[in-house]
Amino acid sequence: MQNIYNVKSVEESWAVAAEVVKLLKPGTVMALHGDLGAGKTTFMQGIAIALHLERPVTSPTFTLSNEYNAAQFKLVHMDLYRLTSPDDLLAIGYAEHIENGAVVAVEWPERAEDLIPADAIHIYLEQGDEMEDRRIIVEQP
Amino acid sequence: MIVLGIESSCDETAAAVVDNGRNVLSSVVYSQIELHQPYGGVVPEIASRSHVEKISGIISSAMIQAFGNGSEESIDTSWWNKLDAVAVTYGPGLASSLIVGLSEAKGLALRIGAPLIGINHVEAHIHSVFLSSGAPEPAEIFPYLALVVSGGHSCLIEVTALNTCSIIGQTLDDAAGEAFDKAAKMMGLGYPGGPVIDKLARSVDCRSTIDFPKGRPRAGNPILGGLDADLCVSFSGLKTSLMYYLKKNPPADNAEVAAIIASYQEAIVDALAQRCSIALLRGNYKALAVGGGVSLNSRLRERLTAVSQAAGVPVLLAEPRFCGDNAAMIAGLACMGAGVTGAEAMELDVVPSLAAGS
Repeated sequence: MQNIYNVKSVEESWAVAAEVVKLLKPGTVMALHGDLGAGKTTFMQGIAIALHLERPVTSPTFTLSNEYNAAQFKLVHMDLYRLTSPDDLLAIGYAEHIENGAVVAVEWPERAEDLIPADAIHIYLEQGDEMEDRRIIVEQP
Repeated sequence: MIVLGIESSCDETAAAVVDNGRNVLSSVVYSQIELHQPYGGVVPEIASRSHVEKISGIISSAMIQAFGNGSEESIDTSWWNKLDAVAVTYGPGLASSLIVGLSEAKGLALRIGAPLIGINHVEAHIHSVFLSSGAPEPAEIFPYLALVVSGGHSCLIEVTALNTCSIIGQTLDDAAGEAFDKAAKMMGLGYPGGPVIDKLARSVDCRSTIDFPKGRPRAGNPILGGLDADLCVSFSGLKTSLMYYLKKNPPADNAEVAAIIASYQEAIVDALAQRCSIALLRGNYKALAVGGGVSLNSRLRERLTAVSQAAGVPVLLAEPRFCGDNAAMIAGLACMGAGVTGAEAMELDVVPSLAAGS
């Protein structure tokens, strides 16, 4: 199934994220595709808000992996940007998190394609012509 | 109290010997920047491997510089007895990097029979301002405000007593150093971004010709959680706005590159300075302490000095050699009685997302 959303504000991106949250269950992998500035941070903030986390969702670029305890499940936010091999993803606990029922959001998933399960939800974020414009494509099996 | 400090949280392998928390007997830092430059950022696997290779040599150098008379090339084993403790960073940072320093420190502490002290890296950055000879004693300036700005952190911390601090503001997304690095990458200026951006920005007459977003989150934004919007910053939108600007107005020459980057830097510096100003005017602080690699930025130093003057408090800036990651700040803070000590320290595991004051 594929849904396409054209959004024109941060709030509209958050509304799409809230829809995606309804699809999440323990062990879901959410692959976030999109270039620098495509809106991955904004989208993840929307996920956090919909999960009632209400705290800053800081960039995982430095620590590679940030964890948040939501009421329904643990949310893990990983950044593969500088990993050199898919093994590095395993080294930062990716498989254990899924096994333990966390929802794992992965930025730059194309760096470890083989490790993204077939039932993962794929989110494609694309820039529009204006700064606030985004196209968000949500794909789920 | 003489403490050996060990630091390996990111891409610097460092060791230092500090006496009484203030007197730096030695501070040795090996920077891996050249190893990571081709990748435009720190590669965890490469960082970890390099820490393993360098750490024992760096510790030896720190011991020789601290206790030798200038002619020794190896450690005199009696020097180990001079150490009252071994201090080490256990977080925040990259897990695979932190583990190298922590394992080395545990092994060393056991071998020489010295107690181990686990130190919070962000809190240690605050202590770096006290490593200068002219700085006051921490106890004289409680409560004080601290700004820690680096590639991985941007937070405003209130320090009310020895070992008592709490985060009162922070970035909601990217750290200030990350915002510099990402901009440098977009504009092809190389890695790390901070120093080259600082230099380019100094080359232009007008500090800000382009109106970038202010890096200030809106009040009522739910992701603030319990934090006050007036004390937080947000750089993700600023980075996106730079990207769109470059797309629509590709710089024609070096002068235009400098003008764009100067405006971008000004937006970051202004957000940080303005947040400090609000906190200083609201709170009853006796000083502003600034640490972390981004605190080397000359424009930020200028603005923070002005902001503290306006608030009537002194600004304490770390010496340049103690701004970036180093082990003197780790050993120094441990001397003050901070950190995880006793049997608990030997049981410590690394904590990649350790927050200040936790």
